[in-house]
Amino acid sequence: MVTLAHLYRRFDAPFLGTLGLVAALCLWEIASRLKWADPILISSPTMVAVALKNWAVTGALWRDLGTSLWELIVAFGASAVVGIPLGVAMGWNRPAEYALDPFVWLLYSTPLVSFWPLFIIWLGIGVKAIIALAFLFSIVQIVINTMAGVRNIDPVLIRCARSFDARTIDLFFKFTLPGALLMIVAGLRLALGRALIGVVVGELFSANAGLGFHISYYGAKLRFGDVFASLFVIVVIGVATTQLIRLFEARLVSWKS
Amino acid sequence: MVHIDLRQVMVTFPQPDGGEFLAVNSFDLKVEKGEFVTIVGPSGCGKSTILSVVDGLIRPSGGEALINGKPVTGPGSDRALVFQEFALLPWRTVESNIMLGLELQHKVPRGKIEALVSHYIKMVGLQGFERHHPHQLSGGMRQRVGIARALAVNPEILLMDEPFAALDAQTREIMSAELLRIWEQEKKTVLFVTHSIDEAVYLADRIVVLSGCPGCVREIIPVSLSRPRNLEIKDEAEFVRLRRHIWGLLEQEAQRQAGGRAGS
Ligand SMILES: Nc1ncnc2c1ncn2[C@@H]1O[C@H](COP(=O)(O)OP(=O)(O)O)[C@@H](O)[C@H]1O
Ligand SMILES: [Mg+2]
Repeated sequence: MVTLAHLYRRFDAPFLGTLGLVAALCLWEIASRLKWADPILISSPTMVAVALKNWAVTGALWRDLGTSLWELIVAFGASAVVGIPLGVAMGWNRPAEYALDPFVWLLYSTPLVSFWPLFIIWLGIGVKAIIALAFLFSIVQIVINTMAGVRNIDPVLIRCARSFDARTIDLFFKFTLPGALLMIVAGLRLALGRALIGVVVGELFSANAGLGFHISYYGAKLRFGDVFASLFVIVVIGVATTQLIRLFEARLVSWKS
Repeated sequence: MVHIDLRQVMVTFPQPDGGEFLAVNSFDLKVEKGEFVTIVGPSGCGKSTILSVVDGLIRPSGGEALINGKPVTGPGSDRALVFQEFALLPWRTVESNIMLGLELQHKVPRGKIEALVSHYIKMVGLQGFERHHPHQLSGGMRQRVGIARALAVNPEILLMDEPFAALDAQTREIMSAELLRIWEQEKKTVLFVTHSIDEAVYLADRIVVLSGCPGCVREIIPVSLSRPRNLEIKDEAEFVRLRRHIWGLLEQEAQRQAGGRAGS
């Protein structure tokens, strides 16, 4: 079968990836059914599927999904709106970089979750504090990538711009920004993943809706099928949004292929 | 008529330790309008720095640089640079790279830019590649874009900083022949930096041989080979003599440097 072998060679990565996943799911199901471990503790794929179905049927899934997505979009959107200009300023202007650099690295190296008690006091328990945490998670990545993108422009292009006596505004919009664009978008992609973590962590701590809330609520009741159902939805969101940005990135670098 | 007049030009760069690094020391050169002058010399002797001074990117710390008798105060549309690294914008097409200089100068209206660009695309032989991106082109073609971009702003002076150094030997020869063909049409004043002695002789009306002293003129050699030139000229006795002469100058230079280093 030449054609099958061909197909395999072309799609071996997704094929083997799927195979591994399916194998793990089967093993999980078997372990649960044969009681290699307590099914209440380890749950099983069918239990997760049932939990997912019930979650959807009652309509709670859409409410939780909506809440989490809303928090994600607001936090991520705000961090892009604030983070990109900040990163540009830091990459473009040395004094701005020196002045802001300590904050960026502070945020990058401290566990941001430790800001949580402050957020609760400042913003109250709930959506605002969750958005603030996700915002912090996300913005650091955006600032760092944008700054690096702006800074790392090829010096010979700068020399070229100066030789043509380019205005500063042209230097920025015709050289620096397009040159940094790929780094900025890659930063957005990484930041989106971090924002999602921020949302889930925030909801774990305090919320009355959302995917993270779903985890902590059913976790406390030892209903791990529901916990895994929530994780499943989170992974789907993470993969879907990241792939969306990847598609966008691929279009941006069409000049490379 | 003297077009470029460099008088006792000196360039120093500040160093991290607070000292000054002397990159060019009292460099003298007069270039006539329409003349093709090549500069050869060991690397690090200040060739790029001299071009930058003429282009207005670097201000001399001493002496003066005059264009048409007026001091250079900064970059201007009467001069254009061609870079060894091509310096093309990778996200722009050939066409759009060539119009870059015109765009940045905000002088020529949009409607006229198109016509100018297609004129220069034809001149450098890039028809059919208008919509290609730089990475889809060979090195030689990329530099054709670089040359077209420089010519498109219609400068009086073309400054070329080892433009063919990144190309393989054969492409290099073809490109220098092409450059001469274009120069015969356009009659620009050209200041051309190169490492290649062959290239220096083949292209030049006069060759400036630098020593590593730094940026000191070792000798200025007039080239009496007739024009228009083709690549066969490299077998002529005069060409061979010039090549040997410059080779000798640079070899002495290299030996002096090597000896100096061993002695110190
Ligand atoms: N911006 C700069 N700052 C400090 N030193 C420089 C700078 N530009 C060039 N130099 C130094 O000046 C010398 C001459 O440089 P350059 O003109 O580029 O030489 P060439 O083009 O002949 O190889 C070199 O030793 C180089 O390291
Ligand atoms: Mg150089």
